[in-house]
Parts: sequence; C-alpha cells; structure tokens
Amino acid sequence: MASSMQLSRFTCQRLFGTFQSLTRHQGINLCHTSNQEPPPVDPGAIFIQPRVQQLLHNITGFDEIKLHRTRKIPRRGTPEIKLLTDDQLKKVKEDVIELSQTKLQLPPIMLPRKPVDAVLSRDTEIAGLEDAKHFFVDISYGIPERKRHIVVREPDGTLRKASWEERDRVMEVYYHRKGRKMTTPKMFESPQFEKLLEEGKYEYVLNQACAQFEPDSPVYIEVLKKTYDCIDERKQYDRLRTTRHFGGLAFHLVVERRIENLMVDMIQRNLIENVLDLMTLHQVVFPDCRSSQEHHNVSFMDKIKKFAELECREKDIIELALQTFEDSLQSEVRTQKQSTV
Amino acid sequence: MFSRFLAKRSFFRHVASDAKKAKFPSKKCLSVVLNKQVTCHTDVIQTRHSSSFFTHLSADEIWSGVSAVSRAGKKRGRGKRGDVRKRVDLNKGQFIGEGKSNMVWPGLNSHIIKGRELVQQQKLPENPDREADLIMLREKGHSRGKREKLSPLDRGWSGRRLPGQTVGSPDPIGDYKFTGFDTRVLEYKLVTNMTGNQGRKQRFSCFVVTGNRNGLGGFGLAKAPNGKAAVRKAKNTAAQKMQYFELCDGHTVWHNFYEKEEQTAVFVKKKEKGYGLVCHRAIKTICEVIGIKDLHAKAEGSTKNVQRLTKAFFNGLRKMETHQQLADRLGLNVVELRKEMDNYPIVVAQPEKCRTEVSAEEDLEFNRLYYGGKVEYVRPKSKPFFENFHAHRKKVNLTLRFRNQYWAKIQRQALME
Repeated sequence: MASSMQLSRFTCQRLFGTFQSLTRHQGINLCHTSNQEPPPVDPGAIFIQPRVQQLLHNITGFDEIKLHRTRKIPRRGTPEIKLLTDDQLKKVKEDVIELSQTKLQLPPIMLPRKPVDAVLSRDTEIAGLEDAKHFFVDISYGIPERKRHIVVREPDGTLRKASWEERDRVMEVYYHRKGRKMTTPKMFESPQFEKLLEEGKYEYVLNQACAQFEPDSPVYIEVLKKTYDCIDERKQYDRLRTTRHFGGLAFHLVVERRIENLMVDMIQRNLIENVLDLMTLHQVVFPDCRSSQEHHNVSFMDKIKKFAELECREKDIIELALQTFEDSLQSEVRTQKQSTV
Repeated sequence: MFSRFLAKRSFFRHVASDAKKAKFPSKKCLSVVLNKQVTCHTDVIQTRHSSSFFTHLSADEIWSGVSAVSRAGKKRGRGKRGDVRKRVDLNKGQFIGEGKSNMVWPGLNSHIIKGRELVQQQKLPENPDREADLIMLREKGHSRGKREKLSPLDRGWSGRRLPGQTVGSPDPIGDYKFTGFDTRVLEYKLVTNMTGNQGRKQRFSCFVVTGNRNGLGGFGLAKAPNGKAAVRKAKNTAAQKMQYFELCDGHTVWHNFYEKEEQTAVFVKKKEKGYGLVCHRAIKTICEVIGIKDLHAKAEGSTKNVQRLTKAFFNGLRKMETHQQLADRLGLNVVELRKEMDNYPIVVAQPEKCRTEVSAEEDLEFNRLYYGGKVEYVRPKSKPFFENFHAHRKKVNLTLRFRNQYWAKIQRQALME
C-alpha cells in the first residue's frame, strides 16, 4: 500500500492536466454522486445558523475554573508571577477569554457523506502491467482539502476517484493533522469503546474522535450518537458542560426529540435560562411544532409547563422538577424574610 | 657457588616445614604459627641451625624492631593514630606443656605426687575445641576496627564521613523534647591552634543544621577535644538559634533572591512542585531539614566555605517577603500564570489599595525583583567536542531520517493491536 502511493510530482502534474479537461467536457460532479431519492434534512444547515450557534453557546455554560483546569503537559516549568494593576489584570483576563472561545468552538454537524462512485476511465490495454494500486494525489499549494483530486489506477486498468476512506488516509500522509493517526485507533471499536463509555470518559472519547475523523464521516457520527445516548441514559450531562461537545449533545437530543431529562437536569441545577434557550432551539429545529406560538406576558414556569405538555413524551418528570424548584424558591424567600425580620 | 645453593635447597626439602620454625622449650622463644609444635614424644625434628634472630632476641626486642618510633617522633605524636603496627602477644592462651595432644607431664603441667601416688606421664583424650577457643581468645580484643555497615540511604556526602549524615534530634531542654527535629552535619573537621603552654592544640570543629521539616531551622558551630562532644555541642547550639521561615505552599521559597556573605554568594530560585532540590549539597541538606522541597540554588565564589554559604542562605530566607506583603508594599495585584492552566490569571494576593498607574522606569519583573540590580550570569551550554568532526556530521545526516521512529514504531504497534 505504501509503495503504491509513491509518485513523482512530474507524472502527477501531467495527469492533473488531462483530468481537468475530462471534467469540463463530461461534467462530472467531483463532489457528489447523483442520488435517486430526495436528500434528507440537513441538520448542518440548521446548526450553522448564527441564532442556533448563540443558543448552543448559552447552554454550554462558561465555568472558567473547569475550562482552564490543570492539564498534564510536558515541561510545564515554573509558574510566572506578574505584578499588575487592576486594569492590567482585566486586560490579561480578556486575552484569556479569547482563547477560551476557541476552546469552546462547536465541532460541525453534518450529514454522513455519501460513498464516492465515479469511474473516470477503463483502460483495459494497461491491465496486468502493475500488481498494485497507484494513487495520484494533487499536492499543489493552496487547494482546499475537499477539492483536492485523488484518483486511483487499479491493476485492471480502471481509473477511478478515491473513496472517502482512501482520501482520508492519503491526505493524512501529505497533510498530517495533529492528533490524527494513520489507521483508526481501536478505541472506537468494541469492546474498547464500550469500556470507555462505561468508565465515563466521554470528553476524552469525543476529543479523540474530533481529532481523528472528518465531521461527515459515518464512523464519527456513529461514535457521537453512541456517546450522547450513553450520557442521556445515565443523565451525566454535567460532564460535558463548559466543553465544546455540550452543544452537539444538546442539538442531538433536540433532533431526536429527547430533551426531557436534559431539561430536568437544568431545572435541578437552577439553570432556568438554559431551559428556555433549549425550548427556543427546539422551536427553531422544528418550526412547525405546536409550541411555536409565542405567548407574551406568561411566566417562565407556565411556558415550560406548556412546552412539556405539547412536546415532551414524559411531561411528569418536568412538572415534578418544576414543583421542587418552586418549593425551594419559596423556602428561600421565607428564610430571607425571617433573617431581615 | 651454584652447587652450594642447590645443596642448601635440597636440605630444606627433606626437613618438615614445621621444623623450619621449630619451637624450643625456651621461655624467650616465639612461636609464629599455632600448630607448629615440636612434640618430644616420638620423632623429634630438629633444624640444623638452632639459632636464628627469632631465637636470640626477646619478643619485646623483635616487636620494637617492627614498630619503632623515635623519641622526637613521639613528641610529634607519631605512632598514635594507628599508622603503626600494634604489638600482639602471639602466644596468648598457650602454656608450656600444653598442646594439641593432651599430655600430662608431671612436674611441668601437673604435680609429681598427688596425695600418696606418683603421677604418671599419660595422654588424655584430645580437646576438639582447643583450637577454636584459642582463636576466639586471641581475636577477642581486635573487634574495635569493625563498624556496622551504613545503609546507602543513611550515607552522607562522601563515604563514611560525617558531613551529610544525620545525628539525631537535639537534646531536650527542660520539658521540651525536640520531636520531629532532624540534625545534619555540614562540616566536621580537625582544627589546630598553637598555644603557649601545650604547643599544638587540636580540636574537632562541627557545624550542623537542625530543623523540623516544617519551616523551623537553625545552624550551630561548636568545638571540642573529641568528635562526639563537638557534634553534641553543635546540635544543641543550633537548637538554641532556631528561626521560623514561612514557606510558599509549604514547599518552596516565595521569590528568587541573591545573598552574599564575604566571598560566598548564592542565587536562589523559586521552583514548581516536583522540581526537586537542584542545589549545592550543603544547601540541599539545609532545605531537606527545613522542609523546602523544590528549589534551584547556584553557589558562586568560595563555594567550599560551607559556613558562609549557610549564613548567606539563611539571611536570604530571613529577608523573604510573602506574596501578601509584596502586594501591600507595592500596591499591586500579585498574579500567577500557569502554563498548565492556559495561563489563566490567578490572583494570589491583593493589596488593600491597588495602584492605578505604573511608571515605565519601574522594574516589576518578578524574577529579578530581589536581586538588587544584579544580573545572573548564565553560562552558555557548550557543544560536545566532537560536534564538528566529520564522522559525527556524517552520522547525524544518516540518522536524521530515523528520528522519532522509536516512538512512531511503538504507536504503530499499539494501533495494530
């Protein structure tokens, strides 16, 4: 396999020339294959909307201590001590917050990519001359990843476009990404994957998956789904709060219409604003849902109750959680009154 | 001449080796080896030359020949420290008439008449333990040189010498027992002073440091005619001169500092947890005893002078400022930035009133704040002598393409499995 990927730049450029002429004349769509059935609803299109991004960021939270917790790094060195005025300190904090935003950047949500099936030519005259596949990669400078041409010449003479898996592997050779391995690590296959989920290492699995796979890779989408379902089952949403994955988790649950437990978790942690944001997100994803009609001058408690009635399968747990929240609020008010008296 | 030599050699071959150093029944004689007894029983082996220097000199004379020290030498104290062979009574436990075969010699080792009977010459059963008993008796007094083996963890800086070794906690003062205190010797030497009366007066000088590994520490110097007393006195002096040093997070100093005592200087640097004590061995010992676990110290100048080094170090510790004190003095926030926390600013100390402006001339670089304007000289790392040799360059060019392959191979294997 490795030998088949070796190629002189000279032959690559010559082939690229003929390739371009092919595409212009025959109109092969390099990116997608033609599909018979209508394409499914693309969650990515909804996800990418600025409004949705804002809602997801609100829900994710911003616990600075958790975000900047101590991590194991090689050669950490002595901590630096600075003498700063209040203004200087403020500025330093602002600089760090900029970095925090990159740490909380949501990984893109896309539909799984369709398999590539494009044969460019069948040259049976040269069949049998080689005993290995040859990959031709366009490594010219400045071309976006997805637009790079990678074609394969089979030993039987067929010239075809490289499949998505082959593309990933070949791109990794020439344009290595930090954290990405040449072959898919065994941690994403059973039984290792199930063991990791059982141990509760969600953030680790999701981070590794982000580094290893492309966002539209079916394996990646499967890994995400399994992890999110596991978290939902165990109601351990807090593990992903203030990480870049919480938005994905919330979005997945909204799309699957399984947001009851998450809502209950938020109410229990007194994050009522997050509950309202989650409800808004649901209404954006499903614009023709029954709860879309906004009622002004309605208290948030009533809003949530109405939403639970109309949209959720298990409205009882939400109502129970709301009741507990109300009681705790009232008891707080009572104790405050007593203390002032 | 050659034939005479041969004849001499052949003679000795016939004679039993025992008899070469035969013992004669003379009180003034010496038996060098234990078993070589001449029995006057059956076969008597005699040497030709019945007289040698062993036989016509007394034991005292022979020993003085081996271990002679002149009168002048004695005045200078020669032959006292153990550089001279000590006299040994080689016949200890041996008596005339007693030997390996247990014989009764009336008149020699028993009475001639016992009661009314004549005692007969007879052979009694042999004592099998006689040899072992004799050996034990002779080695009884010689165990002074052997000391218990010191475990590597208890060893000091070098060999069995005292510097670096622990000498226990100081002696209790009244009711107070120094529990948790450990004392280490920093210097232990023999010092001389010329006096009017006795001439050369030698005393042991001992410099120790003591501490409870929790911020308390003190050092002391004492002299005494013998070593043990000097150590004890120094220990107790150190206990009387104790100081308390508040440590940052209980493991290191609050800031870098520079201190100089005469010609001995030390640059001390605050380090993170896990760094360890990278210091001059004396400073390392002091840190261990006080409770500092992570530090870098560079000793400069007269680094051999342990007493001055210790004084400099203690002076620096005494002048240390905590973060809160620094914040109050300068009117600024003391902020810590850690690489492992993405340099998120952690406010360690806040002043009561924070300043709003900082002039450009003010040097607020924390690392050199307490150096007093001094700049530490950092010696540049020298390249190895073979760096530019042709063979080395060739090797580097060849092996460059395999760099990281060790770890890459391990990664590949891990992925395969």
